[in-house]
Amino acid sequence: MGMSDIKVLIVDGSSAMRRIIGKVLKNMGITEILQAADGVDAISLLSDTSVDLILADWNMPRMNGLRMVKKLREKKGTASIPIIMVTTEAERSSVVEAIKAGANNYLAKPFTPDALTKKIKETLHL
Amino acid sequence: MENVDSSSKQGGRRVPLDVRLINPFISGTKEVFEVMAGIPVKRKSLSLKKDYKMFGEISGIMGLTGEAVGSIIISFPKKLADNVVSKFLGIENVESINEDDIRDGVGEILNMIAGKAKTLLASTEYYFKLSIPTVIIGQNYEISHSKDTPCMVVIFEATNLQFVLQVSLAPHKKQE
Repeated sequence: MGMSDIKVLIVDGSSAMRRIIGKVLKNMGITEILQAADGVDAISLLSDTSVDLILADWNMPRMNGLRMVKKLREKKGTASIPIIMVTTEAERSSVVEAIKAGANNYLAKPFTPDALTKKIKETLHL
Repeated sequence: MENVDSSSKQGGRRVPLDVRLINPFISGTKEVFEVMAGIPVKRKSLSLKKDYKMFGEISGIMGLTGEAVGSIIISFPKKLADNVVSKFLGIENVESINEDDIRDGVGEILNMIAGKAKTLLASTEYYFKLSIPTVIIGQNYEISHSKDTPCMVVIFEATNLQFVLQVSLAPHKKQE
């Protein structure tokens, strides 16, 4: 799979963060980038669209990232999509909780573009 | 560990400044600016706030809830907010920054600072939960905080301009 074949969904309540993450993805050569502002929008979008990777924040209005991960893992069509939590919730207990809920990887904010790139490659085995 | 004054005067009464509380916010501020915007930040001074007036035209505010309760506010003069947000968002032309960019950028910067402090304060009586930040743009406005809780004011310098971080946080009271 080449970078240009990868479709990524960014789920973050902050349009600033969606823009920052989107730039890192574009610099990696990823051009198919979808966005959602919270878990509700993400789940709705994923009901008729497939993606190769989800980058999700934790604290979001309506449905937070943790609840979203749990819901996605319950559904057949989304159960195996790799998910990286990109969030300010960086305590060890939060990381453990997210991984238990079904997240594949975790990146604490603030992060460098290199750190995000590394997490994405690690998660997608690139 | 930051070297800060051990106490400061407020209304004639000596109120202790708890270094354990403020240092995570100071180090969080430095890290967020340096990692996300590539801007080095110097801490200039630390004091207790005596009124509700804001320092700059642009302020991000977040209520802190959970075990400890209070608020965190970051205030910038417009020129510095434009500089920081343009670097933060990767916008090359500072003059193209608009009000939405400022609101999004300052809100997220505050969110990250609070998040770093939250992580560093885990397992202390100052442990709190984050909320969604709000950004105010204007002049000569005031934002109140609880009179019962000291509000610490940290002045920072970045790109030869100053900005202010205010933290007011009441620790969790242990049950008797």
